Amino acid sequence: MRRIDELGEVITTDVLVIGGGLGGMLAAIKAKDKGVDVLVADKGGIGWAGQMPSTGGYVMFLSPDCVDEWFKWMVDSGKYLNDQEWTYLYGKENCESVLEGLSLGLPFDQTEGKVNVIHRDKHYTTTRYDQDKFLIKLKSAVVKRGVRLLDKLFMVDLLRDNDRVVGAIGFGLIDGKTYIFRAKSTIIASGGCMPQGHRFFVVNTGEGVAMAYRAGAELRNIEFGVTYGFGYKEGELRRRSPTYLFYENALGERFMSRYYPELLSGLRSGQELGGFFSIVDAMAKEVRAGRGPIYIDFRKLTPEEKEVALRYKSLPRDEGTALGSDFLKFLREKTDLDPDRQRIEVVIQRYGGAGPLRVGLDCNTTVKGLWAVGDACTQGSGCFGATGIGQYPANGVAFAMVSARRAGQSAGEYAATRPKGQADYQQVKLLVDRMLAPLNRRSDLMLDRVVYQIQETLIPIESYLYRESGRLSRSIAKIDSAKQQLSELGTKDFHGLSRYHQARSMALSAELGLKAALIRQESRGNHIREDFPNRDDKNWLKWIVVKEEDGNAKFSVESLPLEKYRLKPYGI
Amino acid sequence: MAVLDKSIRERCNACSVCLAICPQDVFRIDKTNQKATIEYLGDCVACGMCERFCPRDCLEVTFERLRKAPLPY
Repeated sequence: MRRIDELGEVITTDVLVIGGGLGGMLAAIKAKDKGVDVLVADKGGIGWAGQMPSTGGYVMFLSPDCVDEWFKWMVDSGKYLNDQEWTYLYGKENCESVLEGLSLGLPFDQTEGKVNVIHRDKHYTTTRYDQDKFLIKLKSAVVKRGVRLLDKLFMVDLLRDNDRVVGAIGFGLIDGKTYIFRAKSTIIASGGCMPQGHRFFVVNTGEGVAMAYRAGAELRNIEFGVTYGFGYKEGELRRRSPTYLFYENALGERFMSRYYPELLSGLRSGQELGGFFSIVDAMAKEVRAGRGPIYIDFRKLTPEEKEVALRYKSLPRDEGTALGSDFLKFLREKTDLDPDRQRIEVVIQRYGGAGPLRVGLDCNTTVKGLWAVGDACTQGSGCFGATGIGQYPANGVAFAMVSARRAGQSAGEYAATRPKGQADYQQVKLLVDRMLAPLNRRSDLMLDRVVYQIQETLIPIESYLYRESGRLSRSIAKIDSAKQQLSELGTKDFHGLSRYHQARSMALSAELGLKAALIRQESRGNHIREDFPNRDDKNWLKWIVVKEEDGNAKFSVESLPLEKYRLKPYGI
Repeated sequence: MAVLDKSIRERCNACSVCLAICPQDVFRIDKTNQKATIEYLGDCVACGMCERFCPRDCLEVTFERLRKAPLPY
């Protein structure tokens, strides 16, 4: 009888965590507390891996006595498509998860052991953390507990024993070895499905989501996983500073008041109006009316306006870098642009991506033995309804912390009480062969061009933001063509192989997102259908769920269990 | 794109933070002389993370990128 150790190096653990960023490491700690063996693997280097190093440095920190008020706003903001049990749980456990992080030694802003509230928005408060030290401190807490770590390990597929996930396979990016992991519990902590746009470059392309999907897990709300932001064309994408108040079109007109006059009167902030989406919408309307590009002209700002525009600072050590606080200094030093002599172009950018893995309140997916945390399931949890995590500043970190605690505990308990599953040779061989197949193919097709083709469906606003039946269908056809090319394409080394699998993951999230967008015939939250511009509570208080069956995407529509929920939209 | 200047590359001690942090896996360590190398420059997207996190200031990132992505409009 053939053995799986003939196919690669077999590593056995109780809890396998795929992804070693914030969510993965926190889940590992919670699982380890159950007395089981835990291993975390990441395609980067743990302690620097994932989205954390490049994101904003803030986390929601909601006082328990504000949860009810926050919950009402959150469900309204999510356009009543929330899984309200998840939304409430998230709000309720946010504070204790940050405090537990502090007790682990994580560098939250604190005075004598009490977390400082840094920013008071109308709907929630936030604190901040030291970005440089955060993951390093978390890594040392992880290592101290005896969790095993594996860097530069690119995971590709999950292993199954009947209806249960029992491990995964992947390859070493540096050593090129095939690795076969056997685990009792597996946690997907590999982030969301990002399209890798021009700026705000994030490492996550959705491998965890893709492998869970191929293992039979359900995805939910994928059509809402679209977040666009805005910022300077050269330099960091998002800024908390309200420079958007002074944006001009190509004719030199300040246009924000045309669409959102309440912004300029100071009655509301951009964040309140759908988490900056309003700014994107206003910019897009100007561009679509032929009055683009959009600029900010610092020469025209009064001293008071300049003070407002450059109000929020990042951490001091960011100065002069691409993510720096003194952006004008950065522009002068790094680019040919001089804000004292010319107007500076600003753009919309696609930066957020769906985390559509459907999870229950323990972050358990719909497949036994498999959990998901953080960005991989922000959408699929239903916590944010018809909106995406990217619209709520400081919530990505908060959700990762709440979900990681739940998943880690649950996955650890499961592993402590279950026997090991079996992974048969035939299954492993099939998956390993499929994983390595591009290394044995030679073709003239170029991976860069295929990736660009996939991105052409995910990034342009005419395809993925402002949706319409004909354009969606054309984008779906582009993805079909990209998938066909991927099946023929070859790569020459393991670096190329990782890019190939990333392209595969991107194509999958594009295909499923576009198809779900075609199914939902209404507009709600992030999902905008120009051909169905109204919200339709009568017919569409429903979730779109997708699952792989016989190699194809099978979509279904499920009514919300409104009878269980506290809040209902008006008229229902 | 990321540039590993020859004159400052001497500072590199192969700590491998650039390998850890690069979202595009462009770095490798040259085992013979124990220095970081930019192995896949074409995949660099000029995110700037290596410049920001290198503890010895070995790297500089300019804005050009060889691999383009579509713009939203």
